[in-house]
Amino acid sequence: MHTVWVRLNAVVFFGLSALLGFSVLAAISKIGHANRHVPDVKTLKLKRLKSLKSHGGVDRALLNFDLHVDLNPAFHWNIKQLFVYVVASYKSDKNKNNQIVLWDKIVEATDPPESKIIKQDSIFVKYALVDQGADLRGRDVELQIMWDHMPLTGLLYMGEQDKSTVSSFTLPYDYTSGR
Amino acid sequence: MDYEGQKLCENLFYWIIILFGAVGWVKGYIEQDFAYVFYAWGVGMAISLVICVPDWPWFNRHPVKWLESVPDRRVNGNSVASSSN
Repeated sequence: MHTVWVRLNAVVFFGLSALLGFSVLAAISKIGHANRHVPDVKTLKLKRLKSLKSHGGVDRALLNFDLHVDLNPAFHWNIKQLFVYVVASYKSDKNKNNQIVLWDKIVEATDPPESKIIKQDSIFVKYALVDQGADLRGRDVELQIMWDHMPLTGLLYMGEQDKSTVSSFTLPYDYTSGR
Repeated sequence: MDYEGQKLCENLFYWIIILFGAVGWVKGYIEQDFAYVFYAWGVGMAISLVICVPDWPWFNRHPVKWLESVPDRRVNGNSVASSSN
């Protein structure tokens, strides 16, 4: 503390340590928040199957879905953004459970509250529902929305739509293009 | 900066940064926005840097009192080292 440089060093690094401390306290202050405040999934269901085709030896389905979800409850002062994604899951002969992300969206904490409500009809998938083999026909597919909480400080943690509200549909038994 | 000044300086930036940050934390918690913590912390840092880094006069109010210098023991040009033998 006897020269300007030692004092500058002391102030700057004490300050940074203090900021780290405040950040960790903020993270601690929201432990358990996700158990009490869960996004409200009102609708997630198939709107229209666009096609189910064999594409280079593997089955590929394209579809539209309706989504209505209020993500506001998930946000608090230690959340930077939510990564929201729609997952299709089904059983095939090869795999007990296949999970395929069809669509995703980043919702930032700085977005206004009304844009944290996603209410959109007939959203076309960003990523096709592609099987590992040729085993999509006639399968029961569940659509579930999931989200990653991406915090300012601390660990990323996931959340998902309650299983009891998940909707499902059956893919046609034959290849089809457009209905 | 004297020793008392160094102690004062360290206590000053410690409490300034903690207090500004703590007030910002409470405000941020109420508003649910961490930006309040960061800005309050930033103000505390700026004040601390201005107050604590330069060698201000209020850090030099307790100058170290050195002992009187030992009288010159050299007599008639003989050095201290040679006289101790």
